[in-house]
Amino acid sequence: MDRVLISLNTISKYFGRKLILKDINLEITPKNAIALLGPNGSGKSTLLKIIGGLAKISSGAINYAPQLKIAYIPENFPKIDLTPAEFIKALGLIGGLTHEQVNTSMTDLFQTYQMDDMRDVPIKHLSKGTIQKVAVIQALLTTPDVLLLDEPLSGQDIQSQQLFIQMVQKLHQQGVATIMSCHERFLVNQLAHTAYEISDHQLIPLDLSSLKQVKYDLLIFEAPAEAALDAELDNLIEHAEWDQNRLKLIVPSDHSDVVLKALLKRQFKLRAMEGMDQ
Amino acid sequence: MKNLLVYHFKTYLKSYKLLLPFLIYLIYLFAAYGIMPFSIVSSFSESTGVLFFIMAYVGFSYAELENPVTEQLILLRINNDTLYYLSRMTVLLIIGVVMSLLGILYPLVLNIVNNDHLFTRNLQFEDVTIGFFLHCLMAFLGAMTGSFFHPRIIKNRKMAVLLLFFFAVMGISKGALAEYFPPTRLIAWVFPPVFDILASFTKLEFFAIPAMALPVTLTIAYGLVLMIGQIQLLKRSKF
Repeated sequence: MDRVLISLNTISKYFGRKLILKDINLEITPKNAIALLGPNGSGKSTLLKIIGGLAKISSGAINYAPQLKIAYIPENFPKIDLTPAEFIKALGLIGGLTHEQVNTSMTDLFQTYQMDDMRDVPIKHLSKGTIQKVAVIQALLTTPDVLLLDEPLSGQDIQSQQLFIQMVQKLHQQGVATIMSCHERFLVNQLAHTAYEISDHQLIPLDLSSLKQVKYDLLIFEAPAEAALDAELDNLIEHAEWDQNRLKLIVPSDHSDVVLKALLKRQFKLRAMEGMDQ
Repeated sequence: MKNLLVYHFKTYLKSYKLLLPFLIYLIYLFAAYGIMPFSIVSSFSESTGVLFFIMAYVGFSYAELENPVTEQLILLRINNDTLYYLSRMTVLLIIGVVMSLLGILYPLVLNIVNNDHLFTRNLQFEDVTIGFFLHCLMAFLGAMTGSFFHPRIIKNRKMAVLLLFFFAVMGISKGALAEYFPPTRLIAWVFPPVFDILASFTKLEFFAIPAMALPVTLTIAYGLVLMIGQIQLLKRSKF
């Protein structure tokens, strides 16, 4: 049996008088790939912070394996004055890496994430997607035992998402446990072996096979000037990414026809469409 | 610790938040030493009082600048919360020492330029060493007072600004207040011992170490209580 890295024993969390999480039990072992689903405000991010020891618990206990290395990809990385290179280097050195180790690892990651041109631009001047890449790179600078991911793909382009998915899958193979909060089901399919929904302040196990049955299509459109997606259409789409007048969509295959018809009707031009690998 | 200090300094200096207090202190020094001659003790006393206020602002703005997300990422890297918070305090102490050096070197150089006529008497080695020590002490007290009103300790920022202002002003005026309203002595210990230390030498011609011993001890103790209290509160409150 795998050793337990982190165990949460009947954890509860209140913010003031408001109950957020109640009697949560969870054991994290190497190679675990856990997805936390639930609506905004359900406590996913709070639970991630509790697992990382970053948030105070109101009751219960958390036990950690000794010398545990935890990395964290926050949902919103701040717009700070330092450049990506300065920040990543500082973090690596603070974490005990040598200058050489930091430089090698940092250069590789900047190349992989196509950030070479932006490594010396202050983070506050970068786009949301690029800032999110910095958040990912800092977590992958060394191989952690546990990787906490809070909505890791928010703002990232599809190419970076694919890179990220591959990288996390590689980390799983190396024995890294991942706990991820997300709302993109296609991500759960690719990155999680176990899924929970936070409902009524508790962790409810989800049948992953039902999620895995969902198939997705990637659709690329050329949009007419000043086009936008309305809320009704937005509900059918898993992920949308604009690049000037180019729109990339990830849509559950069941909804592809409806989305396609609706957008063609609005003068969008289909440029590519393919099924996504699970 | 070294890497943490480098990171904190980079972050702080890039924010330009230190520029304003540094310039204000510089302007104060230009203005205060504009017309000579001065009593050494009282001019150093005034300068330490000003430095207390400036460092209280530096401590406060430094705590404001701390980003909770980057803080969380670093805490996960080092696995030692106390070391992280101590490194932040150390940055403040280093800034305090640099400001103290400025507060001592400026009149020292000006005195040399003016052929030893800046002060009412000759400047002695003891004046410089004790003066520097007192500047450092007040910088420490100011920094610890200002940084104590951290966003995670007092979430209401308007309240934090008002409380800091109140504590800083009471620290320097509690002696005068106690003369008019003696009962305030009962709660005067709550406020930083700025008055206590200034009163111990302000009216003297020379610094008298025996008279300063108790207020200096009080100031160090007060600063340490704020420092340890702050670290404990931050470790307990988390995010």
